[in-house]
Amino acid sequence: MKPTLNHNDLLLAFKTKHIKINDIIVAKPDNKTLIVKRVKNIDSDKIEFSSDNKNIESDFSDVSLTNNFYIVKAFLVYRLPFKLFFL
Amino acid sequence: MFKKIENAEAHCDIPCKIYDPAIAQVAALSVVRLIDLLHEIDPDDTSLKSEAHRSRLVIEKEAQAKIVKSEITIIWGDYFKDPQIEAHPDVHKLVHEIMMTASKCKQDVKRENAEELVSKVNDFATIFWATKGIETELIKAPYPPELNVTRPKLESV
Repeated sequence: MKPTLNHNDLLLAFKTKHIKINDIIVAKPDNKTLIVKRVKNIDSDKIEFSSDNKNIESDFSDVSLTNNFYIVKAFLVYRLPFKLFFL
Repeated sequence: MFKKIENAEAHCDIPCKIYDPAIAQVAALSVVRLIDLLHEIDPDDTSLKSEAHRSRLVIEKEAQAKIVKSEITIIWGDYFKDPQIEAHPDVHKLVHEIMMTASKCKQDVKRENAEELVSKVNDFATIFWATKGIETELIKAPYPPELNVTRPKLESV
């Protein structure tokens, strides 16, 4: 998710039904892997993610997923040592 | 406040980033070499040994052409993303031509088809290394069939 997020960034997220396009979310699409992505598209019960870092591939990017999995919206980033910013 | 902080991955598959067209280039050279070896067999020799040798070369030619197709497809499908495609819009046409030429090499034993395959895979390698900002050079392969291959100019350590 570079350049938006770096490795070891701490995210604060909350559960909401109002996920919008361009939100950064934390989700578990396969009920195993916890991922952080940007919402690319929402269509009825489907949701599509994208990565900000276009140079690395991801199984969960650019595919339409049935939105019945754990998903929370990230809103605050704490980057070590002293940086704090809202998404 | 926090019961447990979990790790969230931005890349859920293995982000190994190890892609190199060298495997496809060696396979393309192998196709040329195998065609050369097939032409070296005496056409009048119909002994069982000669037939077995001929069969083995044909099977291996088929396998090496498939390796070319597989390796190029993986790099094209997995590595090339929007930024690389925007910089090199001709890559789709080139990959399709590589697929067609590799098929010709499987169907026939014409050396010119295999030479064309080496050339096109070299073009692909040039594009691939350009996407990484690495210059390339054309060198003569130090083994039969001694054709020219594109190699990245890498730093010595």
